Amino acid sequence: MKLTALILVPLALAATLMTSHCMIVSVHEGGADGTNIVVPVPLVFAQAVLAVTPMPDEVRELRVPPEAERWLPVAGRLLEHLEGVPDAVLVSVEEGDERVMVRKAGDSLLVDVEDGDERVHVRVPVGAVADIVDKVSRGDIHPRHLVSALRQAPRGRLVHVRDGQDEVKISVY
Amino acid sequence: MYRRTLAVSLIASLAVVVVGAAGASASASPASASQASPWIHVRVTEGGDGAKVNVNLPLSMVDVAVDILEANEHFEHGRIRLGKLGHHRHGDIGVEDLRRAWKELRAAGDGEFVTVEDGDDRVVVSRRGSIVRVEVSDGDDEQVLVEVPVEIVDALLEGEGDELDVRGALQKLSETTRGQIVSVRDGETEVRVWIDESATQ
Repeated sequence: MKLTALILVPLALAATLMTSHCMIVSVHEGGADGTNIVVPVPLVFAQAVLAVTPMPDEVRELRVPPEAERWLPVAGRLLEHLEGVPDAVLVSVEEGDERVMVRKAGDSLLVDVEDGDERVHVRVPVGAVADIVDKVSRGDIHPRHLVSALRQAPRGRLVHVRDGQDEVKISVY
Repeated sequence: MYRRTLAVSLIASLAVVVVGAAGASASASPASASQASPWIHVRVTEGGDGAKVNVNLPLSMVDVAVDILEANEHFEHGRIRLGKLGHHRHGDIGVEDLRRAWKELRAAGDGEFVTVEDGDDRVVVSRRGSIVRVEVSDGDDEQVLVEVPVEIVDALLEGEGDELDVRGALQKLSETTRGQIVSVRDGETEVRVWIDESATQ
């Protein structure tokens, strides 16, 4: 019986991890012989932990600044509208070695910045961010919304920053 | 630095215009931003190794821009309230004066309505068919050409009193205007703003 439990519990955990969204933060420093740090965060566990963990006062007392309050509904509408925009390059800027491109692709807004050796790629899941903005504009501010949004986000790389030989990648699988 | 400031200013202005212009589609749903919908394009090119900026936005997004304008105390229900616009020797000039002047000019048909020359600076406001043209040049390399369809001016002046109907003008712009609307050349810097039904430039 104990042996069965010892086998089944890790298997069940592994199955849960494999079938649920997992955020993977990968940091690489210092070229080929540098340091690698990979932190997998199962989002279902993160959400469960955040749901039962009492938030510190600083988080519970978070409020939208009054100057931002009137713009949140506008941001929400902008994001809602953006979801319906066909795929296209919305903005591109080139100046010397610097390049910035913002484009709509599927459900996401992709931002790419290049400046010499620095590269930044960010994928913003429009629908998920719209949900967060909607909740925040109703005064509902909690870190679990961020995790919830990540669980809704299309799988793949969300952030990739490369600065010389250093790299940071954040993905959701 | 000046050119960059100019480019940034123009892009910012465009953003505001875009917001308003899509006001046309005040009732448009997100799904209406389809391939057949009009897009507004901005291209800023600085000479040499200068910046190249391209912006492509569906005009339907202008609806959201109107919301941003609504946050301004002078803007309400898509209309902006202006005070007196300037002074001349007979008193203040207001929107009502503009409305009256436009009525006369509109009836006059094609021709040069206003020509101002001051040294090398020259401003000409004219009408060719359905287009009102505003040309500004300073004798050096700076040239500005704004082409606005007559019906856009009509829509803008639809308001009452000292109001301009920005939402109405932008709606008309979205519905009817295709082609170049602004062209600016300042030395090696060029700015073009145009509307078509393609998402790319």
